[in-house]
Amino acid sequence: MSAIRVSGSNRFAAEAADRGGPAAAVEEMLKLLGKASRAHQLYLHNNPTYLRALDLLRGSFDAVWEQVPELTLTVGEHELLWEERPVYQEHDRGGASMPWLLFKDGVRELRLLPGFENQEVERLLDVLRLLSRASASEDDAITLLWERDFAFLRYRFVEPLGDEEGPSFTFGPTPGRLALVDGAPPPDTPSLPSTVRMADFDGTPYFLAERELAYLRDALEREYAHDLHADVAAMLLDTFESQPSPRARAQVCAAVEELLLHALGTGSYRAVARLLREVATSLQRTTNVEPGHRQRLEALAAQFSTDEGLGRLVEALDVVEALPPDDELEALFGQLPREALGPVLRLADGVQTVRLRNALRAAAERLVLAHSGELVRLIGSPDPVVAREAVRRAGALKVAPAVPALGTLLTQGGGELRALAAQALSEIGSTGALQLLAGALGDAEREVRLVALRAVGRGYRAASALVEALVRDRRTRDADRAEQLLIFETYGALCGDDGIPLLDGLLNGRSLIGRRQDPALRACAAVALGRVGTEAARAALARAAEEKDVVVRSAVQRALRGAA
Amino acid sequence: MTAPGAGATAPVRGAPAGIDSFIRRAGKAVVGSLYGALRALKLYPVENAAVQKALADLVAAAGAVLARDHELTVRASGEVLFVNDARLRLELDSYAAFNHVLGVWRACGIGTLRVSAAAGPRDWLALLNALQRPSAAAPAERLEEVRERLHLAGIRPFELAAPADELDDEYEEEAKATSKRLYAQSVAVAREVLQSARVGRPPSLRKMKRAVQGIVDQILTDETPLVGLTTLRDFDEYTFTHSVNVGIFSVAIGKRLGLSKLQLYDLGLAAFLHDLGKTRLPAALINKTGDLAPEEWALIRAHPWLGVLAMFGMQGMAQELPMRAMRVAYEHHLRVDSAGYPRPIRPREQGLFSRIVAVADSFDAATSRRSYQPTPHAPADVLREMRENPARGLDPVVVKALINTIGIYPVGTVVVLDTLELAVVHAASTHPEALSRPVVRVVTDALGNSVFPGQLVDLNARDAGGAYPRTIINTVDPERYGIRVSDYFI
Repeated sequence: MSAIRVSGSNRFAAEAADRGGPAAAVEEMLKLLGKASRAHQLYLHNNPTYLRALDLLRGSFDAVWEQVPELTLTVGEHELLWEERPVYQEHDRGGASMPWLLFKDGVRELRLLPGFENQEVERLLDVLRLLSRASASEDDAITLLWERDFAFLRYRFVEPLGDEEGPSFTFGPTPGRLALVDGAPPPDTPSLPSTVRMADFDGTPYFLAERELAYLRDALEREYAHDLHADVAAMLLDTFESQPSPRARAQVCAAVEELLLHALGTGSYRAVARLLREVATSLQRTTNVEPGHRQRLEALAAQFSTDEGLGRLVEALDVVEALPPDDELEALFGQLPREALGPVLRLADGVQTVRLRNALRAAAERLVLAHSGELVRLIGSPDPVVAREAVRRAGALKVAPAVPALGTLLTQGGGELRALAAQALSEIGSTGALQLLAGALGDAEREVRLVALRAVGRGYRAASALVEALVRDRRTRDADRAEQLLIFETYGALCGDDGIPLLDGLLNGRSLIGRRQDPALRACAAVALGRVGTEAARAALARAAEEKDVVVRSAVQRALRGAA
Repeated sequence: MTAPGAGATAPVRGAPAGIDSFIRRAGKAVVGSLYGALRALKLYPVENAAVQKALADLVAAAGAVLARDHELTVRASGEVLFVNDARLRLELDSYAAFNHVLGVWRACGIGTLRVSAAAGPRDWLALLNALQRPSAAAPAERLEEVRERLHLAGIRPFELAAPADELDDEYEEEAKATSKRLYAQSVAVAREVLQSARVGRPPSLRKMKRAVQGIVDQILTDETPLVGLTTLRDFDEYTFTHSVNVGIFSVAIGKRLGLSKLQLYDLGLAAFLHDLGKTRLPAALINKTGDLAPEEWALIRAHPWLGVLAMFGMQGMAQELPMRAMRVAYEHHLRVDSAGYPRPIRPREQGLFSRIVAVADSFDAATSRRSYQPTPHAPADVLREMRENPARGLDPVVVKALINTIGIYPVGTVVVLDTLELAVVHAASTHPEALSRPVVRVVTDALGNSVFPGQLVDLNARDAGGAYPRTIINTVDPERYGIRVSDYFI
C-alpha cells in the first residue's frame, strides 16, 4: 500500500486552488482519476507508475475538500458534470471511457465525501478496471459498487425500462437515523390474563448466549464450506430416484448435465467425481428407468472414456493455474470407466504437469487392475501409442492374462513393440511367458534376444538346451561381446554340472592342431563356469588359473573368486 | 455473482467481514475495548490488573484512531454504531460488544461521544463509572447527570451529545419513502420473476439483484420502515408479496445473526426465490380455497424440488447457477431434524440459510391471508407457536433472532393499551430488555374513535413520576375493528 499522502500533494493542492477555484480543483482531480484508472488497467497494483498516479490522485483531493464539503458529479455518456458544467470529458475513448463504463450500467450520479480518497478511491479504480474488462454476462457497475460497500461514496442509478430510463435509486451510506430514546429497563409488566407477557419468553434471553454464537459461527462456516455442487447433485438425484414421472426425470437429466458442465467450468473436479459416482449409484438402485434416461445419465461418465472427451479434460487440467490436490485428481480419475483406459494410456505421457501425469498413470493402473480384459484388447490396438503403453502396463503390473496377446505381438509385431512385448513377458515371468521368451532366444532382433536370455537365465531350466545350442552355434562367436557374455552367463545359470564338459572344453581344450579357442570365447566360458559354481566347475577353472593370456586369466580369477 | 478478477479488492462471502478499512477495524477495536473496560469495571475493583489492562487497551485503541484521523466520535444511530462516521458492521465476533455499548448509549441518552487526544486512563475510568452508575432517571436526565459528574471531576476530554432529534424526523420520512419505493419495486420484480418462470421466459436477473441489494442496504441502515411494509399482505398479490416479505424477514434475521453484507445478499436472493417451484404448479391449485385432497397435497409438497428444476430452467442463470438459492428452495420445508419434505434419500442437514428462510416463511405465511387461510393468525400467537412447539422443527436460535428482530409484538400487531386505546405496533422496542414495550401508533382513542395517522408513542417512555403511561394489555384481530394495518405504514 502506498502512502496515503505524498509530500508533493499539498503543493499540488495549492497550485490547483490558485488556478481558479473549486471547478479547477475538481477538473484536476478527475484528470488524475482518469490517469490512475488507466494506470490501474495497465499495471499491477504495486507498479511504481500506478502508485505514483494513485498518490497524485489522493493528493488532488486536498484542494477539492478545501473548497467544497462534498462532491456530487453527474454521470453523462462521455462526461462528468459538476454543478452542470463539464469537468471531465472522454469523447475519444468510446466504450472504454470512464464515464461510459458507469453510464451504460445506469449510474447517473456519484457523490464523494471527504475520506473517500484514503481507502475507497482504490476500490473505485478496481471497479473501473473490472468494468473495462467485463463481458456482458458478468457483474455490472451497480453490483460491483454495491459489493464494495463504500462508506464515502454514494451513487444514484436508474433501471432501464426498454428504451426509457426507469425509476432512480440511491445506494451508499446515508445519515444514520437516531434511535428513539429508551429509558432504564422496565419493571415487570403487570400480569393480565390475555396479555402476551414477558414472562412467557423468560426462557429466551434476547441476546444470544455464547454457546449460541458458537453454534452460529459453526453453522455459517459450514454453510460456506459446503460443496454446493455435490449438494445440488444430491437434490437432483434424490428427486430422480423418488419421482417416477418421466417428465420430472427428463428434467433432472437435463439439470444434471448442466450441473456437470458447471462443475467442470468452475474447476470443481471433486464435485465432478462425486456427481459421476452418485449418478452411477442412482442408476444402480432405481428401478423402471426409461432407456432414454438411463442412456443420458450413463453418457455423462462415458463422455470421459473417449479420446476427445478425456482429452479436453486433461488439456484443461494441464494448463490450469492451480492443479487440484492429488486426492481430488484421484477422485476424479477414479470415476473413469473401463473404456477410458485407451485414452488414458494415450494421454498420460503427453501431459506437461508431473502431478497430472502421475495421477493419470495411477488411474491407468487402477483401470488395468480392474479391467485386465480391456488391457489385453488394447495390446492389439492399431494405435501404436496405445499398444505400446498397454504392453508396458501389462509388464509393470504383471498382468498374466496378457501373456497370449504379448506372445502374438512378439511374433507378429513391429521391432520396437516386439522388444517391449519381450520385456513385458520377462516382467510377468510366468511359465507361459518364459516359454514364449525361450522361443525368442534366436530372434532376429538383438534386443528381443537379450531380453529373452535375461529372462530365461533367471532359472527357466527348460530353456537350457536352447541356450546350449546358442553356445555351440558358430554365429555366437561373431556376436558382439555383450551378447556373447550374456549367452554364456545364461547357460552357466541353467546348465549345472551337465554343462561343464562343454565349457571346460571351450576354456581349456585345444584343437587338433593344438590351438586354443579365441580368448574372448574362453573368457566367456570362464564366466559361465563361475556361474555354475560347483566343485567340478571350480576344478575346470583352476586348470586355467595359470593361463598366460591376460583376458582369460583375469576372467578365470574373477570366476574363481565369484564361485568361492 | 462473478468473482472479481485477480488483483481487485474482492469481497469475500465466506469470511465474516469483506472489505475492511482502517476506520472499521480500528472502530471495532474501540467498541470492543469499551465493552471490555465496562465489563471489567463491573466485575473487579479499580485497582485490579484486569481493569487497568482494559483501560490501557481502551486508551490504545482510541489513540490509534486519534493518531490517524485526529478525531474520535462514537455515535449511535438506531441499531448501528458509527465511529468517525464510518458504520461499523455487526458481526458474530463483535455482537455482544456492540449490543452492550448501544445499550449503555441508549440508557444514558447519548447520541455522540467525542473524545479528544488528551483522554488518559483516569479520564476513561471516570467516564465509564459515570455511565454505569445505577440511576432511575430517564435517558435525557441521565445524560445531564453524566455530564455533571464529569464536570465536577474535572474531566475534560469528552463531549457528550444527545441524539439529534431534528435529523430523526427528516431521516425517518426519507427512509419511509425509500422503503415504500423499494418495496413496490421489489414486489414488481417478484411478479416479473415468478410470472416469467411460469411461462418459461427468462427473468431479469439484473432487476432481481438490484431488488435484493436494495433490501439488504435498507435493512442494514434502518430495518423498521421496510419490516413495517411487510404488513401490507395484499391477498391478490400474496405470491409476490410473500417472496419479498420472506426476503425482508430473512435479511433482517441474518443481520441479527451477524451475517456480512455479501452473505445477506446471498441469503436475500435465496429467500426471494424460495417458492419458485410453485410456479410449476397449476394456478388453480395454488388459489384453491377449500381443503386439499391428498394428491393435491402431494403436488404442493413437490414445490421444493420443482423450485430447483425451475432455477435450472431459468435462462440466463447458466453462467452463475444460483446453487445456494437452490439449496434453500429445496430445504425450506425440511426441519432441523431433517424431517419435513421432501424426504432426503442421501444424508442431508438443513443449512443455516434454509433454517432462516424456513422461519421467515413460516411467520409470513401464518400471519397472511391466503386462499386456504382466510383468517390470518395474530403475529404474537404465531411467534409463540414457533418458539414453543418443537414439532414445527424450526431452529430455536433463528426463531430467537426473529423475535429479537420484530419483538414479542411484531410490527403490524394491533394491541389494546391499558388506556383502552387501540394501537398498531410501529417498531420493535429498541431496548432488548423491554421487548414488551415497542413503539406504537395510537389509532383510536379510548372511546374507539379512529385517529389518523395517529400519534407515535414509545411505550418504554415513563412519565415524570417514573410510571409508564401506557402498557399493552392484549392483542386483537384488526379486522374486528375495521383497521387496515398497512394504511399506517404507507
